[in-house]
Amino acid sequence: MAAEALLEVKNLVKHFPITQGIIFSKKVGAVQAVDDVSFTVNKGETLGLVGESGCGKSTTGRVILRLIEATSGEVRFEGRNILTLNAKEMRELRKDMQIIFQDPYASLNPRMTVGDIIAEPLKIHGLAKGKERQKRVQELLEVVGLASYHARRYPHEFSGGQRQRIGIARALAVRPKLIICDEPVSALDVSIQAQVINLLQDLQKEFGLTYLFIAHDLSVVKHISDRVAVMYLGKIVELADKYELFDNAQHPYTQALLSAIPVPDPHYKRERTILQGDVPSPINPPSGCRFHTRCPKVMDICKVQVPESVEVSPNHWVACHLVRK
Amino acid sequence: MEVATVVEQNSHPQALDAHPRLKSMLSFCRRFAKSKSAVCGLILVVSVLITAIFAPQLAPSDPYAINLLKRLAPPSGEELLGRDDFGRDILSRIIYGSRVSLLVGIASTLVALTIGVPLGLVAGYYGGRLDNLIMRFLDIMMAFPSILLALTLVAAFGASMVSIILAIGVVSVPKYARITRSSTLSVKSMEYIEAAKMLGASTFRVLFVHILPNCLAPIIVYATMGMASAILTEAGLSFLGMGAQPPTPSWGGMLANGREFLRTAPHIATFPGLAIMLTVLGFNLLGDGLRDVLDPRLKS
Repeated sequence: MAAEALLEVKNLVKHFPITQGIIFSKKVGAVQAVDDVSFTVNKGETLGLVGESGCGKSTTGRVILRLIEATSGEVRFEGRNILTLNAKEMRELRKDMQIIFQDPYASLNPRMTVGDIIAEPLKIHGLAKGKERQKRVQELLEVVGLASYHARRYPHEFSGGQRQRIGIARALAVRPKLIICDEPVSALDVSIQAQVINLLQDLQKEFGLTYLFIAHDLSVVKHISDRVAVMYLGKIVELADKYELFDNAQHPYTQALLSAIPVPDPHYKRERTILQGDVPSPINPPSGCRFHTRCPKVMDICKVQVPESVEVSPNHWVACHLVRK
Repeated sequence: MEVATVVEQNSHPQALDAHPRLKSMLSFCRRFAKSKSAVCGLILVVSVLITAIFAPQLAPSDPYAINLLKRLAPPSGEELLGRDDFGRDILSRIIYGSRVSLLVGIASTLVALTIGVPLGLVAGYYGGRLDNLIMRFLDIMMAFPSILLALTLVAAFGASMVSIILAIGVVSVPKYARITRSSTLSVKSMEYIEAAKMLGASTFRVLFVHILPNCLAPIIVYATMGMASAILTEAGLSFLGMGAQPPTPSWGGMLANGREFLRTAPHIATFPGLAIMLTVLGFNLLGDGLRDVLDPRLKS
């Protein structure tokens, strides 16, 4: 792919310190939420980021947007390392990167009308005033499939799917280039999920948006993504084009995940890889490969050495000792 | 698809949406009217308010007029609540005294709100060391009995109306800061706060446009009850001689005055005491009722 990179994430690390004591607090450990994650998102594409809950997907998204400060690493947006920008430059950059939240009930301020919510980014960045601002709000509402008279209502008067549309309209107001979708449909009914996903795809075509799509629902990711990254315990274990990943998964964890997708055919017999045990604690992650405690194909080397990411075929990266030639 | 169904559900969207704020006000009033204690409290508070505003019209005689011939006169048809040791009409003095009580109650609560709420917001929002610094300092203030602290402040700055208001206000700052802080803690972790930051909102905007309006319910409730306690503190200060200075009529002062004649003329202390009780009861009932009305879990 000769695509141009919009977002490059290099060796991103986020450790949340665990402290003890009230006045004289000392660090006793760290939750290693994101540990040495690297990937790129190309202009106009959708990169899916999947993984179990608690594996650091959302933290990755928030660190990229600097809602959480990274411990180390680089996030390059259009070539600029945004982790070193000051507050003012960052505020300016917020016009280019937006987020759609998971919970449509918690992401809209209940004391503001929908019109005020969508107009807020315009107000903050001084993008439109008075009549023009109202017109923009109505346009945005129509773009996401709501009616302009909805602007005068409060969020609690809407259903989950409609609220998510309001959240999307708010994110679109600043005409961003990149939108990080943090599980935007996992709180919605299945029937509404499809509508919202189709809306996201339509908007991508219309405005040339780039998405980083965080989700744990593989079928949703398969539908919307161009490429998919699989995360496990703060690390990316496999990254490939969608079809390559779904047809030719190399990492045992990806294989286990894929085998868990339900197939709508009762006679279909398939091989299930069932993982034993729970995800280990990110406070004290396993040595070597983090997946070795649950891996069905574990070898001796896995317990000692951290596997490096290897390009097994063009654009297909796997971090596993099995694929080492 | 979804749009079509929405439009169908509301066949008169324009009429319904003409005044969304008015609509929510109406539903607030409806719930308010259902709460008996809120209505009782409101009636008491409003009647005290009216009394204070229209004191000159309502008072049967001059509250300062001394009539030594009628010293300690008991309640009668002519003087409904009797006369005090200077022969001044007690009813008139109570009516004028409501001005002092309400002024101190409202003004000192405003002082406490303007200092306490921003402190609580900042402490709760930033957390960490700043939070510790602010809250521990307020804890130290709270360790003193409020009447003692207020007494000391008034003694230090002189017993004028302004210093009484400031003293009572400052003394109740920690309580408002605490309430604001605890609401801030729960509101600041909501996703819409993150969304606001994501849109590039300044910290000031996040604090006062997004967090504060969502913390308001408990603050309003507490402020209503805080007025009651401010009135009590003022009465206490006046009783101890550090409040409104004689001959200005104030309920606490009248109470102190009547103490000497408790055996011979009990009406002198009884009626101002009743006035204090009813006013404080009114504010407390109103606060209690507001809490029920503003609790979102009871919204239907």
